[in-house]
Amino acid sequence: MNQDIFVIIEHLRGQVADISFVMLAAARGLAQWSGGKVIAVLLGHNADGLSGNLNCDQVLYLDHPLLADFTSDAYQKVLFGLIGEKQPRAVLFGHTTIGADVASILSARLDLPMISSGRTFASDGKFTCQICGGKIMAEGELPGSTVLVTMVPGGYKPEQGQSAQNPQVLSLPAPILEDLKVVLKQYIEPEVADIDISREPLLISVGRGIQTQDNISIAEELAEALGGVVSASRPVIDQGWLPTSRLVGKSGKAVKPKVYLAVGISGAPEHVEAITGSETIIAINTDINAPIFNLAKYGTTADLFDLVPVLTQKIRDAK
Amino acid sequence: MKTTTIDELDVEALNLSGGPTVSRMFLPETSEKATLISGTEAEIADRLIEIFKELGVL
Ligand SMILES: Cc1cc2nc3c(=O)[nH]c(=O)nc-3n(C[C@H](O)[C@H](O)[C@H](O)COP(=O)(O)OP(=O)(O)OC[C@H]3O[C@@H](n4cnc5c(N)ncnc54)[C@H](O)[C@@H]3O)c2cc1C
Repeated sequence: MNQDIFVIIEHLRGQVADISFVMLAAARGLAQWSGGKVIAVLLGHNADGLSGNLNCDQVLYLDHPLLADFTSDAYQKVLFGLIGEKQPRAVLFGHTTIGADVASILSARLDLPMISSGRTFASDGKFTCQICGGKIMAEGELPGSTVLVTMVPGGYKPEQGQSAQNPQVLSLPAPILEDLKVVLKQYIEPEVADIDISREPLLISVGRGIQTQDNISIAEELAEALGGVVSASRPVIDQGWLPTSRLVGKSGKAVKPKVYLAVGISGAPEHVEAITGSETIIAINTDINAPIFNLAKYGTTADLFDLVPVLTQKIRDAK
Repeated sequence: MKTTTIDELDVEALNLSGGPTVSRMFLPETSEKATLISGTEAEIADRLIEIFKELGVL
């Protein structure tokens, strides 16, 4: 085993995902502890240009037409060989659909331990990770062998994982990718229904704290007064209280508004991964321990049913 | 009629070696980043309106 920290770079349609930069920032601290290098692992096709602003010591780039888009099958095959051969100290994946899929299978196939929902690494190599959707944190020691970690956002800023200097890129031959069980044939853009929340500059997002469909009007009135749009966490959409086009999160859309006002949303990893691109997050949540406060710039523990109508009225009065 | 049988295993029978060790569990430290706004609903609303203005959305 060597002491390097591998970061599996996630990218979609020509853009590096923010979680990749978060992981590079996390890897830097971990590499200082282990004494190894930060190595970004980039899989793709004609994608070496994506390595430009990765803050790392080296990029290992594997190019293959079948790596142009993510499929679990192809990623597993490539990473199985690479991790098995190089035996880095740790491999960081995003705690995302892609990362959770590949890391868990590789953990089983390579018989390597895995830590899920990792958040930070301390200078003594200790990790913290989230359990119960971020309601509880666990701290512990990394096992002695190569360890796989899926990382949630929130512990580091994406900018910490970016650099203006181009890193050294080492191209490695991709293994022969034959007999793949899954091949991506076509990328279908989700239909933009009534509103494309990923382009809205001001989102009033409601979560389970809103309690009933009738109460959605409280958020709609605030959105109207502010000139914003109502979006929601998954429980609200699953209840059918708002259309699927308004879903923020892993199963919905990633958003990057100027202001994201989270109303009665706890901040579960599947939700949070899609809001880290927001310029400013403001949270209204009665639970001071809700993970959303770890990400928000401003917050209040006022009851949404008391606060939001007053806020709406004051905004109307001020106009 | 239920026919499934349930096998019981001792924890010792499972090989738990080689995994991470957890030394501490705790509630998330509150507000690592969030600046908390407190006061009456009216005071909180006033501060939020100021923030919306500072951020250029109002
Ligand atoms: C594979 C997978 C995909 C998923 N995809 C998504 C996704 O795309 N998007 C998504 O959002 N979730 C997704 N989830 C679900 C996710 O794990 C959470 O369950 C969900 O985000 C929780 O939504 P919430 O924060 O609204 O509800 P909760 O976690 O129940 O939080 C409600 C919050 O409201 C607060 N609250 C209650 N009453 C009040 C009040 N009166 N005033 C103020 N605050 C109040 C509470 O303190 C609490 O923090 C996914 C899960 C899985 C497993």
